[in-house]
Amino acid sequence: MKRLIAMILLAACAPASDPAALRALFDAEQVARLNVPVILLTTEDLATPLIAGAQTGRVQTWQSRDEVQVSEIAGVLIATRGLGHDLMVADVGAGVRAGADQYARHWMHLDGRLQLVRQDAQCRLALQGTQIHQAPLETPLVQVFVETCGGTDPITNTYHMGADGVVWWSQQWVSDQVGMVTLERIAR
Amino acid sequence: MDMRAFVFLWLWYVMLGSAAEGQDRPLRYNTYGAPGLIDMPIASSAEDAELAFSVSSFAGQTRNTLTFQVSPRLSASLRYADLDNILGPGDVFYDTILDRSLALHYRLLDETPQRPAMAIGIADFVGTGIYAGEYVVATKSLPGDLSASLGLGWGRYAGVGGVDNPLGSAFADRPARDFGAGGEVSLDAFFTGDAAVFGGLRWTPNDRVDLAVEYSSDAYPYEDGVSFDRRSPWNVGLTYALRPNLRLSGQYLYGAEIGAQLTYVINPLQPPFGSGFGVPVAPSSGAPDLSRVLEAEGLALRAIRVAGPRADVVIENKKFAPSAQALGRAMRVLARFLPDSVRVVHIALAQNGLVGEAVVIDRAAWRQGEFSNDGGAAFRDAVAFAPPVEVDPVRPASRFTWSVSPYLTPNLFDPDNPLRADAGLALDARWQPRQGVVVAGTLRQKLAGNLDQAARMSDSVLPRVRSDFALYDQEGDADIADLTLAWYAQPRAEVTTRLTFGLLEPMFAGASAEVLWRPAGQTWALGAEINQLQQRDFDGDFGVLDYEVTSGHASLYWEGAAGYGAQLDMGRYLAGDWGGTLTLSRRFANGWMLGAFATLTDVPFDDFGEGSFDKGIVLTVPLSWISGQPRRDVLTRTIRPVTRDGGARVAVEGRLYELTRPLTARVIDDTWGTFWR
Repeated sequence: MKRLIAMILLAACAPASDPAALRALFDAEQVARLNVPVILLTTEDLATPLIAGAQTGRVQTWQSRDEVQVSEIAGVLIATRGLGHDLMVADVGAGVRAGADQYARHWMHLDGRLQLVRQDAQCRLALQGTQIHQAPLETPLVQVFVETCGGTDPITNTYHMGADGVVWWSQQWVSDQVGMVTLERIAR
Repeated sequence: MDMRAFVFLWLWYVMLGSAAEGQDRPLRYNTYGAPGLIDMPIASSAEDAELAFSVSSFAGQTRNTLTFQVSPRLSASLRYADLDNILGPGDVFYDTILDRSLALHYRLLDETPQRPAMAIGIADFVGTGIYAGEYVVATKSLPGDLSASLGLGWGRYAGVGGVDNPLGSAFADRPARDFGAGGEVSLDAFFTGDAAVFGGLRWTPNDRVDLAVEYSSDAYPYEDGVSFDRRSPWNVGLTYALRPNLRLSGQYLYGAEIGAQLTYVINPLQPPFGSGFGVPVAPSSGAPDLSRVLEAEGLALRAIRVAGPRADVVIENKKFAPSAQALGRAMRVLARFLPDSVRVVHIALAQNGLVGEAVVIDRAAWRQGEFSNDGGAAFRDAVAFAPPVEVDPVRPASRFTWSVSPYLTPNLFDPDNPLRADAGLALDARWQPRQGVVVAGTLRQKLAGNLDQAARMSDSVLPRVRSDFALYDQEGDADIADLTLAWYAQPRAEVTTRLTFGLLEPMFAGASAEVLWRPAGQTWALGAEINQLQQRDFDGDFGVLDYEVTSGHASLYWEGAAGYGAQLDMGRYLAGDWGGTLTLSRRFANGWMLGAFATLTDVPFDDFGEGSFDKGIVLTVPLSWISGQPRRDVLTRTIRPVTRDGGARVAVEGRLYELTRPLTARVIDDTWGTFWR
């Protein structure tokens, strides 16, 4: 609980609309002191830290003090809450792994009739290269994967995955209205 | 061949000869606020459920229109026009006419690559008839971001270039119509008299710019030569989208006048904040007790019983507009508190002690449902509904609530000033000493406004049950809007009752008794209500006037597919008149509701006064839709063109049909997409 309070206080100092300022707060000393898994969520309108919440099977949910939740399986975003035009649920497709050939994915959103609307696409995952990721406490070597789903005007998700399977940075599609969300792992 | 005939033939040629381009531009609204080019109609329709508010003005003719796309094909326009310098039938000159009119537009055929869309329309069929006219029109998309329209009009649309009616001699003569008091439908005039051709082109090079040119067959018979001099049938108009839903138009009309128009569109099916903000209950454990955790979620525990593998729970939803969302949130909390031995959970929603149908949730299926690839479809299929079981109630945790909030009471369409309003603060208090018993009141303090400046006093020949509204606005300072004791009961699962005593509404006090029978799984319900009433004094305190009346209704409610519904009330109204009210409505799962009603009673039209009979529209907008925040309160407005005394009903709070509707399986099912929200 102390850690949560510390993080909330930390986040309270940061302007929620300025991801760079928020990111700067999480230096090595702070992160070591917090000692909890943290990710930073950034959308066009919002930047907020999230801490690990419930684990339901393979699904990890992350929770902010700003009433935002995201759920992911192995770094692939499968649901958001509190962003407005939320992703109600998505599948993970092939997941982030090398050599995945074409595979199917789908995303579900609520429409104005409060009905779930499903969007399907065929996806491909391509390894674009490797780079060093700068996290506050470590600098892992990550593989950069780009997932491209759909034909004209495709959805393009990007994942930076470490050798141990941790997705340290990703940019993933939520909905037409919210657009892309960036999830940056601060501490594992 | 004159130029007009050439243009029409050319339009017809390009409409038949061109392949449709897949244009996806917003609908253009004409100066009447209806689907159209500039003054003339087109065959297109707006997106389903779109609402358009428009104000257009030229040459002292101002039209304020609300158009609703009732269904994908049908739209209805309600118009309030402020017209200066009109020469009416019999050469009677009017300085000003405040005219209310209703128009319908129905798209008969969709556009295909081979054929244009076609629509039929009727303008102004219950108003004074100043804009009365009918049309059929065809519209086709063309290459180059163009679309062309060609139509045939009667009545007002046949003022220029009229020819003999192609429908035959039976339709040759159009009956004359005087402006009268309005309100009467003149079916015998439809599609009669001469007919004339109109048409035009629209060019939409991008999402913001919309240019139109048209040939208008409207001769402006009541305006030409008095309010302006019509010189040409040609009009041009440019519309610019300031925002996607806000459009500004400028027109050059009839070779004589510049006009301007502002159109704002909103669609209940396109919530600005999508599924809304807020997140499910934090999944941490260690909270003190079930009731308090539910309370923190905006849910009140009303009853609970755990017996072996089954739990029965009754919840009052105080926060969420969609019923299924409240159930989903409740289930998350319950899953943390119920012992593992409980495998099936029956959750019912309650309001004022009345309990709805129970949702039967298999706990194992629920656990699998949230992140399942099918979006919880298999879980939903496993969910059943059951009648509520009687469970000993839990003593309400928070029995007294109060709030202070701003209020606004607009009075539209006053003949002297079409927009009057008061604004102030309202103190709402509510005490629920035991389940089913509610003491509630509203105290209002006006801070500003001009309702008390209405100078026109009632001229009604009926008991003045509503038309003295100006006296209520003028007298008194702080008003007790209502103060009631109500007792709700449920003698059977499908039967609910209400007894209400006190100051029922600002104008009437007394007693009201109601019973509602809503069979499970049916699209209909039956109700009855009887009221013994005494008119309240104008000062808004506890005093009453001499007028007493017994009123009451038998009601039939029906809700069909896609949210369309009807309500028929038959009985006795406040002025002692007997008759019936038919209300047609469309409801949306997100809480929006639009309805229109008309009341006919044994009061003759002449005795009723202006408008001939009571009618109006009802609009309900959920505040959760506007704000994106989870909340249950709604903004409801009943808009009448004129407030008279015939066909008036007492406005008692807590009528059973609306109160218990969110508790029903049907509404839970309609909002199911939010269960995991």
